[in-house]
Amino acid sequence: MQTRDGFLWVGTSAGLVRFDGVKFTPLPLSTNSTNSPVSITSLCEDTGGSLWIGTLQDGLFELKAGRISHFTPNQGLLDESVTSLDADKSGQVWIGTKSGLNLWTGRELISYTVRDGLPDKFVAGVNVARSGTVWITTRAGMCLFTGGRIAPYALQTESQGRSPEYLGAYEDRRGNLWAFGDTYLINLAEGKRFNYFRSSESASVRIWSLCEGQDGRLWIGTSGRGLFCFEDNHFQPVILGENRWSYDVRAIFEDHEGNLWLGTSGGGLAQLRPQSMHVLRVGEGLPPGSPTALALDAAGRIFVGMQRDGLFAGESGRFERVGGSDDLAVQNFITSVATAHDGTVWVGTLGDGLFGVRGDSEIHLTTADGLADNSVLSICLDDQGALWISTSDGTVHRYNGKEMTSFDRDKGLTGTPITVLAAAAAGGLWAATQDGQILREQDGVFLTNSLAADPEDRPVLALEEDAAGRLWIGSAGGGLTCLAHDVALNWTTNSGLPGAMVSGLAEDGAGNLWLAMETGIFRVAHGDLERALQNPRLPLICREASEARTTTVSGTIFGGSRAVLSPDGELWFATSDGLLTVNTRFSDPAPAKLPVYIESAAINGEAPIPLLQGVLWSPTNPPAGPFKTPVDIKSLEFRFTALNFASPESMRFRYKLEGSESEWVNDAGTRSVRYGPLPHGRYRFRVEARDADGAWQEASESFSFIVPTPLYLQNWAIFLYLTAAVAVVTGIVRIVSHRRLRSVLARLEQQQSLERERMRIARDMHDEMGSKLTKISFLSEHAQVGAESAGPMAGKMRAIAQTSRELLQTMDEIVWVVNPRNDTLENLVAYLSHYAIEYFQNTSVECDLRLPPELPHHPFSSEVRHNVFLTFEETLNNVLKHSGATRVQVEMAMIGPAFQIKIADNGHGFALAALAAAETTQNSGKRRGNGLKNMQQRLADIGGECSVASRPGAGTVVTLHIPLND
Amino acid sequence: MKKPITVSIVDDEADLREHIAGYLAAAGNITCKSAYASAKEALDHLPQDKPDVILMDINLGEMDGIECVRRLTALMPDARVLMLTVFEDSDQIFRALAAGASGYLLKRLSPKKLLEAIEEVCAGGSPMSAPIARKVVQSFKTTPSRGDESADLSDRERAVLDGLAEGLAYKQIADQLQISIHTVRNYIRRIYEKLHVRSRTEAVAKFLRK
Repeated sequence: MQTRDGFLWVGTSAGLVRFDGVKFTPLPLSTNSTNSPVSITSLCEDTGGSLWIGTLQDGLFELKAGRISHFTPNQGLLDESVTSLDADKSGQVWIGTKSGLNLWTGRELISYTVRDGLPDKFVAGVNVARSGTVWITTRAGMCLFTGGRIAPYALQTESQGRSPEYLGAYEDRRGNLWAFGDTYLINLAEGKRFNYFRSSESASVRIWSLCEGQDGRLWIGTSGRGLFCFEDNHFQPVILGENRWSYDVRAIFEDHEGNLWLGTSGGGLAQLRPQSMHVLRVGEGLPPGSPTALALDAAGRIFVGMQRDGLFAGESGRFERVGGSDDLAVQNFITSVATAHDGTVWVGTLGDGLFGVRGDSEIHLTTADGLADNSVLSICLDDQGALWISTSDGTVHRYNGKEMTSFDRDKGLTGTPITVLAAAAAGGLWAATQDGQILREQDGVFLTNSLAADPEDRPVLALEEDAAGRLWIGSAGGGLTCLAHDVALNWTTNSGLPGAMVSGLAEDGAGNLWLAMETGIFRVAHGDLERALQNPRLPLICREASEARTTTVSGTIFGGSRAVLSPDGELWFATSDGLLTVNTRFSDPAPAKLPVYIESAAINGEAPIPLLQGVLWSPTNPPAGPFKTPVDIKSLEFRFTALNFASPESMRFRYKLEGSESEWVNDAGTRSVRYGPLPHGRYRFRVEARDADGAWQEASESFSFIVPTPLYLQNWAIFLYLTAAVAVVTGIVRIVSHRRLRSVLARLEQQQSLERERMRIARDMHDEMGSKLTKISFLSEHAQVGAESAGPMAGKMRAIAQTSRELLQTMDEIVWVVNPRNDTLENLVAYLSHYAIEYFQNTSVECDLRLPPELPHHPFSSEVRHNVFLTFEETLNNVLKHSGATRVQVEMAMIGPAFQIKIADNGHGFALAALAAAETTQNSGKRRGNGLKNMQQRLADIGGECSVASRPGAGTVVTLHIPLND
Repeated sequence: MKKPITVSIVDDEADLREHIAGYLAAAGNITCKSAYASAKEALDHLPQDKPDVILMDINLGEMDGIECVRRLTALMPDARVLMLTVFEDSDQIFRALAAGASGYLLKRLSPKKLLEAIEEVCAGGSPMSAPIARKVVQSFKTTPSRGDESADLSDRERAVLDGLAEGLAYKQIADQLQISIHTVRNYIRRIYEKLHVRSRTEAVAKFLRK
């Protein structure tokens, strides 16, 4: 259940947990008797904001203002086992137990038992109706508490063999009171009874809970059959894909955002988001099988082409075969359906041409009538009412009711089959091909739009022009593309799309884009769409509406509409699960105020102090006065959260510690922040949060605290008041220097944490990427041996092996530079000498190394190492590539307080003047010229020097001079 | 045809073990005798397997490859262990060599080099690079031998080691000392052996001090 502060509470057989959308926080309920976990049976919140927790065998708990009270038979509770709880409007709590009924009046527990008129001592459920009447279900039937006394309530039960135990009563917002038994619902107001389950199933099915959704639908959780929706006096099973959910739904709860939470047995907590709750019905009257193409006529009738079962037309959910025409296309795969203004419904088939049905008459168009091929891939009507037909041989036809015109390559077609035809709003047509080309037809001429072409030639499955005139393109494998204002943007699985195949596209009245994909049906909200279009780097946010998959393309690719929007806002989808509808008039719940909370503060790494519970239950009563921390604050960590259950991942936070920070700092997604040592003073920690489209909202409470003045500073202060001006001066100096010391310490701390981070990155790169790359290198090497002399494959394999080894080498360099463990001169020398040996191995250059026997211990920053290494690498590169040398001597030595690397080759050398000239005129473009300049700059950056001495014919000496004093 | 060299691989990555084994089998006169995922398994079985060369990963999870080598050389003093490592890290490599490994291989080396290295270590070679040599020099300098004079370096060995530490190639050292390259290799192997002895006595000493 959800408390008024927005948190979701889940009672489990192992205790109570609080959920904020991201994290479950267990709330320990201690009992004196045992330490074993408490099994929760019921939860309720009373009007005073207390959370009541009923347990199995551990009595009753009340959580109020962060404090827990425990009720047992000693306090007047009738039984240790509480079965149900409900609160009435006057703040009283009704408690059903195994041994009778308790009422908490706010001061004491009153008992009602069989003596007071309860039919049975075992109370199975209590439910307070709006009228104030309390409905009580017991093992021996129902009764109600009204006017201060218990009155029996007689209800015709079904057959005598049934247990008279009603599990509960539930009042919906319209005032209907529902009682539910094992397998049926009774509307108590109308006395109407609804059975759903056949008796043969009733043994395994049991209704556990009822919950009314915000839209007035009643949700029913059952064992054995999962979740049902009760609407218009019908039970509708909810289509949940592939056993993803448990079929044993014990508890249902709808939160303020309209998310449906299912407490399941064995399957944990499941959340159904509003988008996924549109009931998608399998159309009645349709044969089983997959619909393949959809169309709407002007009257809003929907026409459904079933894969091999002909054409059906539907109105208000009922479908009939069109024209009773048994001979129509029954044998042939329907690829596309279109409705003409005159009422003709056109059906394209694979192999049997085109059919036009109008009333009882029927036209059949085949190759005999001028079609180039009898396999029709797509049809559409243009603004003049003419029918356009694309066939699998790549031809497009226009049929105006009398004659057939053909379009071919000479009209701009590419020759590849056109998979989708769609009328363009501005007149003419859009056409898309089997190899990912988009064409625009105007006045009988097709023009290829190269912008939107799929680089990998994957077939286009769907086209949809939106209200803004943008063309959306769904591809088989290439994801979603939008062509707008001569810009084409593409989204794939890398950019948020939940699959690579988009086979149906439709825009609803609110500008949301619906995608029928092989992974389900998804909706992209209008706002998200616009944002994604404005910033192509943002991932596309696709919300799952149903798990129903579209029929996967196999064999021939065709382009009948798989998603259409009816004028009354119903979206229809052709999926492999049948025909589904979504009511798009359902709008997103208005963004409510986000509950934002500072959860806890942890000082110096100790156990967090919960800040939340103090304010949670008594928002009007913040903790008295600012919190005083210990004097010596080394670290202070805050955790915060905001309650958004629909899309917790889209929450963004920012925070500010007033007294230390002047700007808001954005949270990286950890929902926590850690501060280092804080000087004494007054602080206020504030948090703001926002969801994907909202504005920043601040936490209901900020956290103010004082870091007290250290004693010695206080003493200093007192001393200052009493002594002479000279002393004052010294005192100030002391304080200032003390502060400075502090900031130095803080900086050191920061540096240290930076180093730890670097170490971690280095280790991760080393362990993770290194081993994976090694694997690639081995695998490709191995494969290469296997595919020996197999020609091109072996070559490619060799290239992969080579590349992965080079990548490892590069990573080795990066890791070495980054890893703070390598920050000594000794390590630098070791690495450079190893690098030099390896670099010249298997080359024509012989490398001669000279190292000093001893090196002083001197730390090197990552920056210095980086620059020295790159310069060194560049020098070796020049020797190998340009000098023509056969020998190179690398000599490292300590020259006074400086470290020096001398790289001397016996190559042909060069004239420095010529090089300088080449550099100034900028015409050389050679790496060497720029390289030398770069090298000098690099060493200058770290306070060193790079000198080059060379003469034509006398080799080159490059000296790197790195001073060690810092 | 020569008797094939037998190899055992200890690496916690299953596919890598397979790939290395597969490659060695396909590319050279080498058969992979066994492969283990953990140091513990390796310690349990390698003494029975008696492979010519053991390829040992350094990062092995619970017990690392270096500790594994330390224990393994106690169990099988003649074992020739080549450490496998992803990246050059002279500290780790030195510790592995001190623990008893005969050499090390970067996993990124081309398999051809891998074969060469296995063959070399099989032939009794123990390559030593300048950075490693420098660490060895330091090790001998900073930790005086504990009474065991056999673990001290001879003058010749010291000269070879100093040459290596200064970055000289084997050939240059041979020329300088007027000995053959083969002799230089022998010296290097002896330096390694002494290093092992020292590190072992050091370990014992540490143990006794506890």
